[in-house]
Amino acid sequence: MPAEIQYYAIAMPGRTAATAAGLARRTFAADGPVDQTLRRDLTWQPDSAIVEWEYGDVGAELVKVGEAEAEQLIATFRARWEERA
Amino acid sequence: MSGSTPRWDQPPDPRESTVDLPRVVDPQQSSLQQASSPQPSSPQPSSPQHGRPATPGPERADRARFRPGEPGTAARPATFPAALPVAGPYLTAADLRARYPHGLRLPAERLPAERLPAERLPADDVPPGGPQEPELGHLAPLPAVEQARDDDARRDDGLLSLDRAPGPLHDRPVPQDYAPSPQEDRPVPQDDSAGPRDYRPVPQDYAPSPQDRPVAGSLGDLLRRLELLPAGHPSSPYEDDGSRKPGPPRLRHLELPLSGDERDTDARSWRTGAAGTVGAQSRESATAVLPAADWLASSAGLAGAGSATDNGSATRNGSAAENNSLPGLAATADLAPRRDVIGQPGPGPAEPDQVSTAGGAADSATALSRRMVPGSDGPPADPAPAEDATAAEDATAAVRNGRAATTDAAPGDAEPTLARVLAVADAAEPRARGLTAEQERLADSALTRFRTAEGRNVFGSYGASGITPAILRVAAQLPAGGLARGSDQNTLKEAERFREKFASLIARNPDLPAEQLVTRVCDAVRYAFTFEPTDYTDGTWLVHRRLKAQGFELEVRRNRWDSPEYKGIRTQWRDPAHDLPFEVQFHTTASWDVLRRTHETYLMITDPATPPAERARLRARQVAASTAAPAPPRCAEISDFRMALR
Repeated sequence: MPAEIQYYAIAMPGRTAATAAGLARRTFAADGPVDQTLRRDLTWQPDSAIVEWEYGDVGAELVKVGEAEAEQLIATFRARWEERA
Repeated sequence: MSGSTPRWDQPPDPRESTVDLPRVVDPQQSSLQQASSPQPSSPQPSSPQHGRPATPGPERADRARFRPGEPGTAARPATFPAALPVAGPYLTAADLRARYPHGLRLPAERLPAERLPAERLPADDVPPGGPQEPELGHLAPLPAVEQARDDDARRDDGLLSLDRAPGPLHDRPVPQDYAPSPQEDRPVPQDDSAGPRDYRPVPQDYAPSPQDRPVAGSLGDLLRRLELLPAGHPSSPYEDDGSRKPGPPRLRHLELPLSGDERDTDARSWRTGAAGTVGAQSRESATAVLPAADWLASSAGLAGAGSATDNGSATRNGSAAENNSLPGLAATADLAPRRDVIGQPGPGPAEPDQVSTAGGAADSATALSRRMVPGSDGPPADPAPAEDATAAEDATAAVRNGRAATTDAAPGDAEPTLARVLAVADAAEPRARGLTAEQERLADSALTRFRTAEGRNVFGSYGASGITPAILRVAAQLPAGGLARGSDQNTLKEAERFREKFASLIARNPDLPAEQLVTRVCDAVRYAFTFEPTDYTDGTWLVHRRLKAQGFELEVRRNRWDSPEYKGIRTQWRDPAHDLPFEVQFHTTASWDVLRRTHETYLMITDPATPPAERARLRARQVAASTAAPAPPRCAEISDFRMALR
């Protein structure tokens, strides 16, 4: 059975989930939740962004999104970054 | 009470309000008086205006000729006793205090001998009956350079007036170097032709004579004048208790670090990284590196993004593990291999099944060995002793300075190999924390902007403008509550922490350019208010109004009183004058105490290196600790807020 995954769009102040500049996810593994963020190289790396947001961090708003929206965001990022590269 | 009235009981003579009265002397008269009557009973005639001597020149010239301890100048004019209108040959300290209750400092040469330690008087040279007064006219020839001093003495009239008096003698701290200098202790040459010797050693620093004063307006003169201020005066270098105040910070301590490749990068960060790998002893040093008052640094996301914050997380791991008695965690953090993934090409879009748990899979950026040789995918190098690390660091500096790494190594010293030197140099490069040289420059520039916005000047003090002065004004006007205890210690984020936070923002927001993100470090400037529970809601609203009245704009507010782990309200404001954000937290006294008490736990929770199971346990502990901070009444009415799109 695949682990449950929650996705969060990282929206800096003044932005929305649709214009998010980053993506985070929480995977509920057997030994506990694992938080990661999507990096510029399109890999997922451990990160504490979700925990910090739960503790009230005001630097960015994390908006919970579905898997489809997350995939859409990733596709957007990939196209944009490849274009820049 | 019968008998004659003691002099100290008489009303003060108005003429004595000027200190120069006892100094009135006519050299000729003095010589005559000394020849006929050694103790005049009344002051010498003075000018009608200020009681100054009509012809003070000779006296000044005589005094200018005296240089203590210098051969040929041992004899000095001692006009003091001849001019004293008192019964005895000298004024005692008690007499001076009685006469000048508001303070008076006499020139050193006028101090009575009995004020000085007896052991300073050369016993063999003291004639019976006490020291004799030297006669005028037997003075060393005046060197040419003395003319300048004489001119200076004329310019600076040399008369002690009350406004120059340094304050009560008994109130002033005794200079530590009151003891005679070697020069003062030097035997006075026996030269009868020079006239009678002066047996009174003079503490040169106790009360400098006008000739010893530095040029008016010079730094020495300013310092001297500061010394004359009464202890406890805001500008006095002495505290009320006589202890010397700490000096102002020197400019070189306020200099910003060199940017980019100019910097001899970061031996400190290398040390902290190494500290995380060499065991308990190094963890102790790492603990020392962590600022004790860095409270808010934790509350706004310390750990950051994976390798981007590895420099600090290694240190924090050591500190946190030690403080929380979690040796297992410390070992995990120390020994887990780390990989810097920033800038490396990735394998492409990740799939959900590629999820790895921290501490297990290779792609978990939970650890970065500072000793990993560049390009090596193997396990980290064996931990080297701390001494080797120091030697390698020195060698690294030598390489950067263009010297051979081993040329300065003494025989028997640990000679750093080239691979080790390169490894250390690589670990010290800016990219180790995830920032390029350009991003480092951005961070330094932004931090300078934040510092300016915060209101601190180059000397570390504050004026009337800036965020901190405004916050202080707001806090001072609150009817209840105020700035949280200890929160004002660290309002500006430390530079290294700022870079770490910047790096984490870059990693988390890859779709935004670094130029935009560098000014989004929301807690670069941060404050915290605390209130009693009954005052909390009203106080929080009041601070909001006051901050808006100061011109600040509320951007984000998050009420976390319903969170089981974190209690309080966090807000982000913007200073429109500098277009920079800052953070303000609102706590009750209890929630603030919990926040500070659980600081280390929070650091571990937000550290990506912490294993998931351990993190879950720590979060449960955090929940338990937060029960000590109940929600204040009506706090729920303070709703979340987010600035509308611009």
